Amino acid sequence: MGKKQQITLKVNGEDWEVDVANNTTLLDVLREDLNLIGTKEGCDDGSCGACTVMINGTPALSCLTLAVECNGFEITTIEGLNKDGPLEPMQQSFIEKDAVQCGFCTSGMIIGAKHLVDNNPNPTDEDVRERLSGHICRCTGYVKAIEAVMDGALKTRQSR
Amino acid sequence: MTKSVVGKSVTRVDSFNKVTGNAYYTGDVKLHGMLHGKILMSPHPHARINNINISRAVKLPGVKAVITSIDTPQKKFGIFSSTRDQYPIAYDKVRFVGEPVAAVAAVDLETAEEALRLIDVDYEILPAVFDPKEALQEGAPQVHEEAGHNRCLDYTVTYGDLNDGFAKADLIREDTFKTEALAHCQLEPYVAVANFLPTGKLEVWVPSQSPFTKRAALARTMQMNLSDIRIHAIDIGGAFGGLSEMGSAEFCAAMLSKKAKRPVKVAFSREQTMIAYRQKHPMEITIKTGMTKDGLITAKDIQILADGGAYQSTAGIALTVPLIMFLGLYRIPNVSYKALRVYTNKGPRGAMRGHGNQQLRFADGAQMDLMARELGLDPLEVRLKNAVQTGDVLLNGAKVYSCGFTECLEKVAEKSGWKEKRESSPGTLKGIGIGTGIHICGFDLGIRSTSGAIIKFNEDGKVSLLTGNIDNGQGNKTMHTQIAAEILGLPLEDINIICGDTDLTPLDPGTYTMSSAYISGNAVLQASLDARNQLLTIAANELNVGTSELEIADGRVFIKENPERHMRMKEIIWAGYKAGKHVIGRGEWRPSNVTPVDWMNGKIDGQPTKAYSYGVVVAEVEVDPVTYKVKVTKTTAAHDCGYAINPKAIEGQFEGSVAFGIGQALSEGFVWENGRALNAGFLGYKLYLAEDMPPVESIIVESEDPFGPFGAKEAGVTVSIAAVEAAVNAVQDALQAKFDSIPITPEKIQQIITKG
Repeated sequence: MGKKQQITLKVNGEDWEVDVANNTTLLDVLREDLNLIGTKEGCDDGSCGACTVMINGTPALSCLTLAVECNGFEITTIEGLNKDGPLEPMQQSFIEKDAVQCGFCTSGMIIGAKHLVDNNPNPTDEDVRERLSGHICRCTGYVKAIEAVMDGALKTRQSR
Repeated sequence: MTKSVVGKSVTRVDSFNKVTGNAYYTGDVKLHGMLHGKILMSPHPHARINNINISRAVKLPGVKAVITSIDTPQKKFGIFSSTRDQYPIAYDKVRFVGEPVAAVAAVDLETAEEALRLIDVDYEILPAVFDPKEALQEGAPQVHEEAGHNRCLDYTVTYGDLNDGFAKADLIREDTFKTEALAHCQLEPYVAVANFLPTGKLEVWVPSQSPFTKRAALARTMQMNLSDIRIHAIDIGGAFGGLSEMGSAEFCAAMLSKKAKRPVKVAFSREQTMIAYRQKHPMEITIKTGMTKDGLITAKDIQILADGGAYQSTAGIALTVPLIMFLGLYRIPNVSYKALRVYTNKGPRGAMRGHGNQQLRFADGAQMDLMARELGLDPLEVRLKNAVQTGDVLLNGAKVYSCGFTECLEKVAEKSGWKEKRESSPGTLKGIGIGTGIHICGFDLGIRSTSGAIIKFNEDGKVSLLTGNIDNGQGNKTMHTQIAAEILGLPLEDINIICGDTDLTPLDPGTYTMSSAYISGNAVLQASLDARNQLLTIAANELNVGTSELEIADGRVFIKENPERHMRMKEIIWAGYKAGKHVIGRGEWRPSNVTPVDWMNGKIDGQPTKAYSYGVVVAEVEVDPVTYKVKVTKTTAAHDCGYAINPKAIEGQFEGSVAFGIGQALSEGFVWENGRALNAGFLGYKLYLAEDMPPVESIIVESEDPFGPFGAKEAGVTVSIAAVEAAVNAVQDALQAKFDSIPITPEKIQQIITKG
C-alpha cells in the first residue's frame, strides 16, 4: 500500500484534495473517494473503454492512470456533462437514437464521442467508428451508437 | 383497437439515468462498513484438496473473515434436483481452473488480495481430461468419481424411420462440425454485495437474469429460509444467458458477511468473469442428411458431443433445447437425435444466447449450403422448400400457432438482392450467405412458469408497476411500461416500474427462455386490465353510467358519447379511497397446456413451448487475399417477433445480435492450454468493434401470435443465431470451400487458400 500523498484535482469544476497511494488509479479515486460512480470499470486493463474520462481535455483510460500523476489536473466525468442542468447534445442524441441498452459502456462512450465532436465538429463515419472502436459494447452492435454520435455532432454544430 | 403507445418507438424509461451516470449497478453499491471480498481460485484443472491452512491469512491485520468449505453448509447446487453436483466453494476436489477454494473479506481490496496469498492449500494434483472424446475412453480421469464415468447426459431420440428417409434421398451427406467455448462478455464484470443482518435476514445485490432462481439456490446452499433472503432490484450491465444460475460471488459474499457481521462486496476481475462462472458449450456435431434432387430434406441423423466442463449446469436444457427448436424450423419427416454431454476439467458450460441451438444451426445450415451446392440448388430455395408454416404440427406433436419464417426468408432475399448477388459472386473473394434462426418463447419451469405483475395506483393518479421480470439492457422495463400505459391510457412517465426485487415483486420466469415479452408481458397486460376494470367501475359509479359507456385515454376516463364528461385518474383514485377502495391490479399468466420436458432424456413430446419466433440473416463478405481476414460488408436481417412493441428497441436487438453472431462465426473463441484459457480478457478474446461492424438492414416481420401480448413473441435472439450461419455460409460461398469449425480465423482461411 505504501505511504499516501495528497493531490489536488479539479473534477467537473469542483476542487478536491485527496490522499492517494502511489498505486491508486484515477478510476478508484473517482469512484471510491469522490463517489462519482458514473465512470465504470469493465476490464481493469485498458481494453474496454468504459472508464474513459477527460483529463485536461483529452480522453484517457482512468483504470490505467495513476492518481498521483494527475496532481493539479482537470478531470471531466459523465456527471460533469450536464452539471448545469440540460443534457449535453451528445447525451440527448444517445437517448433519442436509442444507442443505450445495458448502459455499462455508455458513460465512457459519450465522453469519447464528445471529445471527438469538440475537436472535429464534422466527423466522417470513419472518424466515428475509429473513436468508438476504443469502447467495447456487447449489446448494441454499435449501429445506433454511430448514429447517435453523428447526430450529436449535428446538434453540437447547431448549438454553436 | 387503435394503439397509442405500443407499436411506437419510444424513449427508454431508463436511458436518462444511463447517459448521465446515474444508473446504479451492483458494483456501485456502497454500504456502511462494507468489506471487500476476494475469492481464492484453483490454479489446477484437477486436484484433490488435502488441506487448507488459513491461519496466516486470518492473522493479517485488516482481515475480518476467511471461509473455506468447512465454514459453509456444504450443499451442492444445480438447476434440477437430480443435477446438483457443484459446491459453491470446492469441498474435497477442484475440477477446473478458477474453481473457488476459499474466500476472504478485509477492510480493503489490497488486504484481501494479500490474505489470499497467505492461504496455504495442499493440492494433490490429479490427472486431468480436457478433450470430450478422451473423457469417454476407458481409463480416462474421472471428473466425478462417484458417477463412474464422464457421461453426464446421454440419450437418443428418434422420430419417423431414418432408413426409409435416407432411401428416398438422392443425395446423402455426412459432415462433422465443431464450435469453440465462448464467453458472454457482459460489459459489467460479475459482482455481488451481501449484507447478513443481525435479524438473520440476508440482503443481496447481484446482476441476474432471475433473482428468484438465485434466491432459491442461495437459500439451499446457505440453508436459510427462502423468504429471509432479499435480492434487490439493480441495474444490470448485460447478461446473454450468463447470469441464469447462482454463482460463487453472491454465495461467498453472503457467507463472508455472515461471518464478519458486516456487508461484503465480492467483485470478479474480467478474467475471473470469463473463466470462473459459466461459458458457452463447445460442441462437435455430426449430421447425416438425406435430400432429394430438388432440395427436399428426407432425413436427418444428428449426433452431438458437448464438452460440458466440470459440472452439470444447464446440461439437459443445453442439449434438449436444440432438439425442440430443430423440429420447429424445417419440415423433416425422419429425425434421429443423439445427445451426449461429457464432463471435462474445464469451466462449467451453461446457458448463452440460444443455448445449444446456435451451435446446431451453424452445423446444420453450413451443411445445407454444401448440399445445395452439390445439387446445383439455391440455398434460399432449399430453405423455402422445407420451411415450417403456421398451423404445422411438428414431429413431437407441438403446434406452431404463428410462423413468419417464410416471410422472413422472402423479405430478406428481396431486400438483400440475394438472387443477383448470388449469381455475380463466384470466382471472386466475395460471398453471400444466408442463415436461419428459431427460438422458443418460454418453456415449463415448474412453479416459475407463471409470471405475476401488480399495478398499484398512487394518490396522485400515477402508477407503480411491479414485475418479477428484469431488464438486462434489452429494454424489458420500457416494453412492460408501454403495455401498462397502453391499457391504462397513461403516458409512460406516469408509470414507475420496479422489477426483480424478491421482496416486492411476484415470481417470474426471469429473462431466459425468451419469455419476457410473451409470458411476463402477458402478466403485465392482465394486471393492467384488472386495474383498468377497477378504474372504470369507480368512474361509472361517479358518473352514473355503465362501464361499457366509458373509454380510457390521455390520463382520464370519459363517456364515449360525451367526452367532456370525464374524470382524471387522480379524481378516480380519490373517489375510490373515499369509498374504501384501492386500485390495485393483479395479473398472472402461464401459457396453457405447455408440456413439461424431461430434459435429461430428451422427451419433448406434446407442446414444450407455446410460441416459436423466427429470424433470417443474409451476410455479405469479402476475404482479403493478403491478410486472409474476412470483412462483413453488409447484413440484412428479418425477424418474426410476433408484434413489435417498441420497434426501435427491436432494431437494436437485431444490430446487437448481428454483432454477436458474426463475432462468433469469425473471431470469438477461447484458446486453451492444459485446461487454462490463454485469452481470458478483451485483449485476447476478440469481440467485434465499431470499426468491424457492417451496416444492418432490419426487417420486422409480425405474425401476430394468438397468445402473445398484442401478438408479441421473443425479439432478437433468433437473429444472433441466424447471423452465425449466414456469416459462415458467406465465407463458404466466397471461397467455394467447406469450413467445419468456428470461428473461421484467418489461419483457417489461409489453409484453404494456400491449399488451393
